[in-house]
Amino acid sequence: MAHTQKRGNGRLKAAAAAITVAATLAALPAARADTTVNYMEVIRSIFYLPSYIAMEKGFFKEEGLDVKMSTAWGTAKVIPPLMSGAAEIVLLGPESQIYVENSPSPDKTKIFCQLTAKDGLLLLSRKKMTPAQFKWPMVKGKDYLDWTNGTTPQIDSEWVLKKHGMSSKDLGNYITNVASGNRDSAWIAGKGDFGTFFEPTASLIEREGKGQVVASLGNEIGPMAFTVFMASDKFIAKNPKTVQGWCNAIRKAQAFVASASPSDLAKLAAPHFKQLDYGLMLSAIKRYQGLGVWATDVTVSEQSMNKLQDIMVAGGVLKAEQRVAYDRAVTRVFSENAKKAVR
Amino acid sequence: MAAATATAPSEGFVRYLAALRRESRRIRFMQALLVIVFLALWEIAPKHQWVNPMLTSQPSAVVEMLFTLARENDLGLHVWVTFKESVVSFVAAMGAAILVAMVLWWSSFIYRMLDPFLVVANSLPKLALAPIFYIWLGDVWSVYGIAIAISVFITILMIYGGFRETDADKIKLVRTFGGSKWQVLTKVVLPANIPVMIGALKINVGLALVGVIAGEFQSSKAGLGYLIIYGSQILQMHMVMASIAILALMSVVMYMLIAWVEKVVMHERH
Amino acid sequence: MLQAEGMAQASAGAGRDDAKVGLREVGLRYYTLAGEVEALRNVSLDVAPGEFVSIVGPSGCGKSTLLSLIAGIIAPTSGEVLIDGRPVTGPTPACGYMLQHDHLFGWRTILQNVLLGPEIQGQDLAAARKRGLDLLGRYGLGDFVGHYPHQLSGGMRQRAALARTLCTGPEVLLLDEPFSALDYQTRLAISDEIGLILREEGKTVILVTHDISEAISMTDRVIVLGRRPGHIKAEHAIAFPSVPGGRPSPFAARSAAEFAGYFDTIWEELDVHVGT
Repeated sequence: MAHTQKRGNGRLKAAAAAITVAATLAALPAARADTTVNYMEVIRSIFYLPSYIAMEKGFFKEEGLDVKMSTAWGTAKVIPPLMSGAAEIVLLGPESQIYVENSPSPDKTKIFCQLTAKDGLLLLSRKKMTPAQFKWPMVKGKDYLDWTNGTTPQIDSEWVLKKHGMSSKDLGNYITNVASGNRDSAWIAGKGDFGTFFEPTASLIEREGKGQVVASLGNEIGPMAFTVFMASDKFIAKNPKTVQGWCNAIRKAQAFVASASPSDLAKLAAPHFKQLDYGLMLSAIKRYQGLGVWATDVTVSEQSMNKLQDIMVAGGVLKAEQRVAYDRAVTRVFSENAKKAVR
Repeated sequence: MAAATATAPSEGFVRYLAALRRESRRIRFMQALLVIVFLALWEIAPKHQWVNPMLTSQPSAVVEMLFTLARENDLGLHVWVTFKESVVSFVAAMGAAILVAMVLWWSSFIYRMLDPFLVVANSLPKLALAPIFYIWLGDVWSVYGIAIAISVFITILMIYGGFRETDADKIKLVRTFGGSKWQVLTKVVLPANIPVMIGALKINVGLALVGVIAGEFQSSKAGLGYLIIYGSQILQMHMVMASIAILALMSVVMYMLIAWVEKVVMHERH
Repeated sequence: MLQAEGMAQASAGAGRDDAKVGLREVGLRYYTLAGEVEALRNVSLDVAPGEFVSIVGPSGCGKSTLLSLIAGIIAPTSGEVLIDGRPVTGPTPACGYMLQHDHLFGWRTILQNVLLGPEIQGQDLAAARKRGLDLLGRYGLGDFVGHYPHQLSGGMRQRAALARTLCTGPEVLLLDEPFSALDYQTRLAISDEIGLILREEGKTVILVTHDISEAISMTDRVIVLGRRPGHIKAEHAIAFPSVPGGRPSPFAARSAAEFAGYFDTIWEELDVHVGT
């Protein structure tokens, strides 16, 4: 149509149209523009189910948050963007908070909410046995496929061994030289009599008949800060509403996850796990729900931070004098508010 | 023949030499200055928080970390492991490459048959094979596997190229004496290509280190690659930087070793 | 007139039975993707023991190929090559070959270079060493046996190459433009020197060259090769009756009265009649 008009006339009409569109947009019910949050998770894992549920159920949206998620695939890759501000809220292990606190970094960070309250690692045995038959002393003299040195899973294993009066020296071959990406294939290829895995690898190994889950490290260790949301002090100071909204959304998700059926949860989370087959996902969710790894409380407690640092000191990645005081590591304000706001 | 240096050098010649010396002194001075400026900036910038010291570390902390590592973490062992792995892999890669190049030179049929595969293997990004090597070779040998794979194909192509470029008349000379193919190989082709092999060695030092570090990232109990991974796991950039500094030093030392070998071997040739 | 005389002398000279080197209707074809090339056709030639023969011809006429056939590093597609009346089936110690460049190996000392032939032929190395040192001494290289080739001048290198060729004790010497890589002055001097050496040693020599003066001044007989395919076009026995006291040195031969006549004749054969 416009091309039949004279040029000047056409321009006028276009300008008028633009104004109309803008006005219409402004008048829409979504007048309250969502706050964009650049969010980074350390890896993509079924273990972080409540975060995906919060997205899929629209809990973030309800808090006015538009979440732009990216996945770092490794702790070391989360910290630089967090420090530079490229990532505003991150999901990762709380030990990072301790390291940052002890580092020369002038910018500090805080933990403000937790996602999982237990170690999600599962001990698998290559020899057929049930969890009831398994006793920890059985690992003595056996090959134990662990994670690489200095990782939280590795120091957690050491802690559990210690709890049962052993150390890694009592094992046959304590295998810590396998990079995380190679562990699954190493186990399948026959490395180790025992090994620790997360879901859904544990379910996969069981399905392939290459081992059985015989114990949960989370149950052995008890409550411990394991996966938390962190942000820089700067960001928290400038965006308290965003942080609060985040806590509220996670609280809603926790409540939903605690009561929903595994199959509903699996269907909801499915868009985030396109490569994972449904059966494995269901089995993983069932197991984690049964173990209670997903926190029902958004607050990271002082005891659970203490437990974490006990394990770090015992594992040799933290010196006793480097222990960080609870309130320098965690801010409870937002999580406590969330508990009042979201019933 | 030796240049005719008869009487005392002329004034002009003396001046010429002095100017040459002055220039090389100036170059060395500027090089030292570059290093100093770099180190100073690296030290000062984190101190004044122009950059985040946790992410960049700084020379003083790196040096301190080197001592700590030496005291508490068996630094010598890590250096030795990486050094050994690099040397073993690059000697093995050289040996294998020379052997294969000999076979290819011997039989143009085999060469023509394998040529496309070699070209593909050479252009393949070998680091992509790291996980496969881990599965095939296990945790110890995969380090060597990656390091060898990364350098062996380019070395084969380089050395074979050198073999093929060997002066045809020199080969004819040996044949006129009734020399066999084997004698052509041992009397002409191999000795004539020692410079090519040394050139390949120089390239291989760097490649072998890349492969070894990549391998250590995949699986290792010790080595500088292990220290780098461990350091980044516990967010200790000082440890990561200290390991990288040693790696840099190691590659310089290995390069100088080869330069020395080259000087000794090439001393009589032109 | 000279030409006719030469031809007559040549055919009378080398009898078939006592020939050191004999070519019997030799032909050579080789094949490439581009097609088939006839390099030599019906070449017959006899060289008497101790005779010094040269082969001249335009480039691409197959002169060097002829030497390779005699040396046994390629085989003819027709006819046969004989040395001492026996067919050549491969390289034999009876032949020594000298190439255009000295091709001394940079990684070997002069003496080690000279010992290359004996080494390859599996000769007694102690004896070869004595022979090599003796040869090098006679060619003025006695002080340079432990030097590397790059430390020697072009002429010295060419003499070292000659010593290498002679060290295996060949009876027939095949020289493939051995002086062409040298500068003009060195070339005159060295061809004089080597010419004399070879005559003294009493070897049978076949010299391939594109330099007509060199051929006339150094050799007893000049064979002119034509091109496409290579064939013998003419032969000239060279003699300098005007010079008293027997055969003049190559250098002296260049100023002999007969020289210009030979030169013009051969020049004409190469330039005018060849190439179409």
